Amino acid sequence: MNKDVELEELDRVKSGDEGVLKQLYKKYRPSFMQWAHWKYTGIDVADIYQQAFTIFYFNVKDGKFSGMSSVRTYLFAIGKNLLNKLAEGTRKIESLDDVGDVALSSDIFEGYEATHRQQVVSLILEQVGEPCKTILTRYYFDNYSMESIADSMGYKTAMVAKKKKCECLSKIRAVLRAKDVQMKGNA
Amino acid sequence: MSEQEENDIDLIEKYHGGKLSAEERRLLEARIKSDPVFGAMVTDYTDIIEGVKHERREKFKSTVKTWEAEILREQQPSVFRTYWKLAAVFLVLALAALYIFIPGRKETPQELYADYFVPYEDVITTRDESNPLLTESVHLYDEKKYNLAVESFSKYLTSHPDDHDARFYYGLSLLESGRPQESMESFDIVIKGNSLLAEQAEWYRALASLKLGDLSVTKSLLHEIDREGHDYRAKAAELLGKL
Repeated sequence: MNKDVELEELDRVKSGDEGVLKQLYKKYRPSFMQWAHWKYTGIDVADIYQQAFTIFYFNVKDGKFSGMSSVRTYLFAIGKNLLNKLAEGTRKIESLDDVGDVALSSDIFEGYEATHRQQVVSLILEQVGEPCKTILTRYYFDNYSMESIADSMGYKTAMVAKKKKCECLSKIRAVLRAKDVQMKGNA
Repeated sequence: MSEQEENDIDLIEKYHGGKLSAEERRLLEARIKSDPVFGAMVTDYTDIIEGVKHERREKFKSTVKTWEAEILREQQPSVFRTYWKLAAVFLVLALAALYIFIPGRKETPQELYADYFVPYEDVITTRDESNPLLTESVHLYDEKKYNLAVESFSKYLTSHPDDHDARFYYGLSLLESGRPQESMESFDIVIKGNSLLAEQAEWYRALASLKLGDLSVTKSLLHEIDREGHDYRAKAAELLGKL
């Protein structure tokens, strides 16, 4: 695929364009399934593909993948690592050198496992509701600037939106601390 | 919220995002150590930032699951076709099993071959590891990659035509890659060469003939084995009884 087209696609992935994400998911699935089925038996490769694609998306969002290699190569390398990890404890597998070599940092799988406290935060986020949920999600997950959040949510200035964001954080923190105390009391 | 707290949140966001310089980072980490209130703030806001991301990640995982379900739904007609195919295969296997287990039925030469053929263990690997091509050939044989083993042994035997032990494994590889006639020719050479594996070659030559379905030759070869002191005498006699 043309490198420019792929980089444009990556930009759209980074901005969370669900249409492009779905298109990519469907595009690479058949070849991944075929490749993985050939190499591994007794493993739910469809599940692995879902995990690999999810990690691919998070890594693009976090700026860990910027398109140095092709999307296909990168995605397959993530899948290969997941499969290897899974197969490690169960059986010896063949070498998978036929997948293009991609320098994957050791933290490729790290950072996506939430701690209990982080899971509690996501519940609190539901409780506090709007506009906190949208402001915080757009800022921390979608990497929107405060200016664009202010524009899209009708705040007069980025400063006002930022103030609102800080209030939301403070509110969530208060609930989180209260839950900490509650949990210690129960323990 | 105080201006100081807002500034601290800015700082924590930069720290969490890896956007502080080495010096700023050092100062912040020193402050975390010396100021427990600030340390708690860092922990809390870091968890909140990650918690927000976690919520979206979980949502994305659910979205991916819906895509997967959609693909499976789209594939469903072909899945049904697969079920029919599987049912047909099952029926054929059931009929085949019924046929095989009919009392008194004689086994076919191919069934007998499958019953009696056991790949001969590798007894030559450690013998000569100085020849990489031979080591590679035996390795391929051990890995049951018989087609590749045939190619590899063939190259090796071109330069070592008198290595009858290697030729024995070449014969076995030929036999297992569906070339019984050629394997018999290879075993003939091993037998005539008076190799240590000559008796084994006699047995596998008889099995190669069995695989070819040539019962009269197979019987004659088994009778040759059925002699005093031959390693495969008992097996040959047993197999003769079934032909």
